[in-house]
Amino acid sequence: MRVSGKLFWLPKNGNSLEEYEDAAYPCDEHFETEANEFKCAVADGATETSFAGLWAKLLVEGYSEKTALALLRQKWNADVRQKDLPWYAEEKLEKGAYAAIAGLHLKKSRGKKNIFTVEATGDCCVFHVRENTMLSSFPLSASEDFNNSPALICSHEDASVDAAMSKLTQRGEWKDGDSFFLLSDAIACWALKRQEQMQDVASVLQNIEAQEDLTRLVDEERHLVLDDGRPAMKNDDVTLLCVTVCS
Amino acid sequence: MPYQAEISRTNPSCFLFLIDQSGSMQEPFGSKDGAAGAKTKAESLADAINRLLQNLVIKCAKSDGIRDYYHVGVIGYGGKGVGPAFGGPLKDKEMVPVSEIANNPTRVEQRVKKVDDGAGGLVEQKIKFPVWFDAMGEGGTPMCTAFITATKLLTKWISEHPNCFPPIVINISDGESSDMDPYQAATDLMSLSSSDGEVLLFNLHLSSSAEKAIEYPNDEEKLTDDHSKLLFSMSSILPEYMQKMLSSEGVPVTFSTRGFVFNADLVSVIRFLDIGTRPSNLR
Repeated sequence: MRVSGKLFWLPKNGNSLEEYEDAAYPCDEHFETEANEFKCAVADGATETSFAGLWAKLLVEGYSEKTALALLRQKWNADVRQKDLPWYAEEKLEKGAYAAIAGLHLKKSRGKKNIFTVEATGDCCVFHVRENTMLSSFPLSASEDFNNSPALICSHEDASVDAAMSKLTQRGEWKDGDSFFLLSDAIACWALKRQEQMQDVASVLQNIEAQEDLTRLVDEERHLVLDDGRPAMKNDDVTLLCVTVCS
Repeated sequence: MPYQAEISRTNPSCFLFLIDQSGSMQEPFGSKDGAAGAKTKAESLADAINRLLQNLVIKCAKSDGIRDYYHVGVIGYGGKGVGPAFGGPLKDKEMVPVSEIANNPTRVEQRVKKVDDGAGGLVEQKIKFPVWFDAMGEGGTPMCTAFITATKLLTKWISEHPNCFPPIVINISDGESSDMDPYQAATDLMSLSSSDGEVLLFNLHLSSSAEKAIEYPNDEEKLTDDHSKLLFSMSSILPEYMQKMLSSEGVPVTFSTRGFVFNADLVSVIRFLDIGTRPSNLR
């Protein structure tokens, strides 16, 4: 199985690159690999929490490398507690970091159907596209499904959110030439809204070849105000991971 | 649609608290007598405001420091007049960014809280409790002057932040205005607006009786006296995002629900402050 991919991202408008709190794995702008199995993921660190970017990064790496959540939590705690922090930063650490994640697992099966699995907690999404037709969007499939309180995974074990309970899983079959798009919530919500307006979103995403293409698209859509007064795309960190698979 | 502006470091919003510091605030919640040793309304309210300021600071804390999403003012009104109520290094400051609050508490007290020991019992845990605002109570209740002061302050603040998420003013008092009828002053305050909507004024009336609190009313039906009706008329209708927050907590809301609690006990005060200061659209 040959997998090729491209990754593009940008922070919220007004924030610096260092303040970007999404994460993706693989983290190369372009990648290509031959394997019988392939895993990739996108995560979105919650703005209101501290060290959320680090937590998002650990989650995507952990998903792809099959690291137990307990070990990721240990790593996050060890990393953030190295510094001497003021009282408010210490208090904030006690509340933990939160992130949403969507991961894709592709498998080649000799003589059988080729299977993909999507696992997601929260509102990062995976689109499955075949010949410019969107076959599915998971875990959310309509723009109205997005809200301000998605399920999130916490860096603390004793948080009220149960990561295992809130994980949703989708399985399906992939065919030669299929594409998968892993998106953080703002661009996923925008894409589904455009899809609902009968626009060819799959082609728009497919045609993003360089970082400048994504930057231009996001900039335009953030500044386009809809009839309800809201921007076409929410001002949030944006991550787009595009994967194409061939047997 | 109003109340959708992004709250960011370049486009901050603000909270202004108007705190009754009259003599009656030295009585305990719920009655004029109260149990011996019970905290006074002024003390309980000071704790609630300090805890709220602490939570606001923590909300704005990121790995790289504090982000000034908000500016905050605390205005006291009582026998000593109307003016800024912060203590310590922030004394006499009217509106300060959250980072300044974070780094300038009057003092940091060690307090004890009881936490679950994981075996069905409770253990005491020492916590740091920063204090910016101390309890005070004497004299009358110049609420009208407090609204006029707030209007002056926010007129200036909005002119400096014309596209901000509208300022939220929370007025907390246990009694009636002793200077003038505050209706017009409150109406003037509520008519101030940024490009994203009018200033939100919420009123929290603290209980001096054992009567049940009336929370977030839609109309005057359950309000029996002129004072409660006056406070209702001076309270803003909750914006949609706050209606949703309350609804998700099981509070019945409609499109005409107002930010008003009458006869509030301490639990009601803390919930009101939490709902009233939860962010809608932080960047």
